[in-house]
Amino acid sequence: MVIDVSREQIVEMLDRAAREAGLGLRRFYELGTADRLDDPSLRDLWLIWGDILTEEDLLVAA
Amino acid sequence: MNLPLQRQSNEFADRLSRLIVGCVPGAPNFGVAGAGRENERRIGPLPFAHEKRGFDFIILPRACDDADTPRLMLRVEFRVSLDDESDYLAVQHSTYGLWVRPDPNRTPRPVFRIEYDRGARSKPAAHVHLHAESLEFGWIYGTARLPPPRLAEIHFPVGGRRFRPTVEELLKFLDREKLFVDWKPGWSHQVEESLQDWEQKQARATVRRHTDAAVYQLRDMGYEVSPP
Repeated sequence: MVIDVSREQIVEMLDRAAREAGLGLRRFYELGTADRLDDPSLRDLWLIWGDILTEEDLLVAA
Repeated sequence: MNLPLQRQSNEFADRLSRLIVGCVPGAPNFGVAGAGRENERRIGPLPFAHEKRGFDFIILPRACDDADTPRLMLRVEFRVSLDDESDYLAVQHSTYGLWVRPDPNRTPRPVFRIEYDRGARSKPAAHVHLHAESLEFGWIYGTARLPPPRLAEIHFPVGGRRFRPTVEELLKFLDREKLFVDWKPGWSHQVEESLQDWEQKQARATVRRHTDAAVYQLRDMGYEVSPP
């Protein structure tokens, strides 16, 4: 089954998950890039979806 | 749309669906998400809810649990693309894990997680994170005057890129260690069949990557091999 989901919806999903864990989207990105995300649920999100994020997304979410 | 990628991603999702649905009572099918990326797909169990956290858990329904309150669950998700030659599907990242919910009023937490990061540089590409603590590990770091990491931060290497743990092996592990035993009838046959299919695909991929070694081995076994 093909899932109909946009890039923007995924960015919103990541932003929400990062905030719920007490991080902003930029911090989530920085920790993910450095392989230093402690929260296992966020680690899983980073592994599967992290490359979606762009610098523009980080600026918008700030 | 990248049709070869979409077709092979769908085939992979179908294989995972057959495996999980054939083993776990009430298990969901797998779906494929593009999310606006031409050259990548994400594969995981349905339903997918972007207003939550995307792919869902696979519930492992134990006979000892209240059916309305799942306590044991699996996370199985993949990020895939085509390989460098754009011929075959390649897993770029994956995460499998056993999660538990001892307190139904709290969110699930991991027992162990198996991560795969194909491009990893500072850690093994395939590795396990154990979500536990070890006095012995702490002793090693402490006596060396190093700050002790949590055990979950350590990357235990498993199998390398080509022969990393599979979902099938994860299911067999759960059964062998009696972490989950309430399988569907005939599950074992389903696992073995799927594992055989996986191993043959990996063997072919190994031959593509290590053609000289494959030719050498075949000639050593008496086969006549000539280049195309």
